[in-house]
Amino acid sequence: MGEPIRVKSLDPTLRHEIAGILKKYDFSNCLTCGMCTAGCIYSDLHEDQDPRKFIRKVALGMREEAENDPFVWNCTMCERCTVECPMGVNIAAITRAFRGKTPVPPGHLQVIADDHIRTGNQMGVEQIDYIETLEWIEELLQAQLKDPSYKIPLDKPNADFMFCFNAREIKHYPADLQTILHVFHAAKANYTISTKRWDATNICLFTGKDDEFCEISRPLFEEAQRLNPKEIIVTECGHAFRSTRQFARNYWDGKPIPVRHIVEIYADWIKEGKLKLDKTKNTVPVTMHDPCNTVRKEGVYEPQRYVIKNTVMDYREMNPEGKYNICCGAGGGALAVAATKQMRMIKAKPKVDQLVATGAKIGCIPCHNCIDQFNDMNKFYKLGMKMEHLSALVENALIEDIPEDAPEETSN
Amino acid sequence: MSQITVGDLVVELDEDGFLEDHKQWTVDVANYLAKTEEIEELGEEHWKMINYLREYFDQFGVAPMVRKMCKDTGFDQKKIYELFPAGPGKGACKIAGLPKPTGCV
Repeated sequence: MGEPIRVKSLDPTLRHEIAGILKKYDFSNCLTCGMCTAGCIYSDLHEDQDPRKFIRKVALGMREEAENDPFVWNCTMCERCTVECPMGVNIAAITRAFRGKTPVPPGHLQVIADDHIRTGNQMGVEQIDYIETLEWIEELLQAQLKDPSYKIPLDKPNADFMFCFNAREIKHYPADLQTILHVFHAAKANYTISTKRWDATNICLFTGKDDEFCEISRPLFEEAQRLNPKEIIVTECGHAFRSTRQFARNYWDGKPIPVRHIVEIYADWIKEGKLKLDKTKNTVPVTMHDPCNTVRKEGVYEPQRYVIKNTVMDYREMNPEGKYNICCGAGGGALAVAATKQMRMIKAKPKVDQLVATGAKIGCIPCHNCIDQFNDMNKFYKLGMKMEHLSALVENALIEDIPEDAPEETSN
Repeated sequence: MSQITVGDLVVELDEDGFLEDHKQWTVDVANYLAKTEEIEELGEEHWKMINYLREYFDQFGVAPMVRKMCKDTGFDQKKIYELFPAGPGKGACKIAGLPKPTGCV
């Protein structure tokens, strides 16, 4: 048995304080039924992972216990619990409010926020390195397309969309960006990339610091206002997509601008016949993960299925999927905290079981955060699978006219 | 945090397997880390990249952009992935003893 609750030490102001941070969001309708804990796939896997216990501490006013509860940082904020809650209580929002009260978030999380505020992108990529990397990708695409006149449309006003991405695509994975721009080219997209503001991520989605959240996202929207695209399209990164949408919904007071996920525009292009794909080029069985931020939280579910069914021959759904999907185990910024590795691999197990049950050889993971976790679980559990973004599979299925008699593509 | 013993040396790694202190790096440590990154044996081309990354990090205190890695070593990205299956940041930089990159990686 645990300690008894000492009524005299309870602090009834805690609940109001948290409701205040959450703009009067009322979670006092919690019935204490425990469906959240039943919904949390991790509550049986390791200690300090029980949403019901946590919300009871908050509701009762057990200030010290709630503020120091490891649950606050163990929770991946995936909202799997909320799907089951008969009252729709958003535990992840409460978790985030407590995170915001932590003076220094763990691991690299605060470094990422500070770098983003200081440099305009979360990895501190300097302007000259950004521009030179874009020029380099342009050269690589000129060779790949055998078209020396190919240009990346930079700072083009009034385009159909402004493409915003994740600093890792510039710093660590330029081949991913090249793949995406190749698909844009094949679809003859009328888009632009800003030379000034381009990183759509916002780590404060996980640190809970709202002032910094705004400081990071606002310049991206000011840049969008200046370039005046019809919409913002965000790369295959669940947290970049979610945070950009959330800023647009809750904070942006300029000219309204829609924010969509890249899989949505791929689906449009396939329907409109702008993107021609030959799915017989992808014969290996593929399954696809539903990133929590994109699917459960932002409701983008059909477009990526439409795309993948037009991209691969043998698509296999995981069970459960959609809004009932199981989190990869590294949500809530866990990948930026090295100390979570062991816990991440424990949390990966239900996902591993899902993957293996499909018999697929390729995991399509349309999220930068999730794909790192899938690569780690692939190695840790020796799955022998290959993890790919959706864009890579789409690129592989492209039907396009590239002149055959032009000079050989140069390497590098 | 975990510890590995390489010869007489005890080296501290973070949970993702990156060196806690890049000054603890030795050739033997690199060989050890290579095994954890699915590389049987470090060959001449691996060393070209590792030595380049170490020199760059000593000089600038950060890992180079992938663009710089390619231009300065003459390897294209495909080649880097052949040499270091986990890629430039999580594979090559780890074996070269650089700290875990910050950010969502």
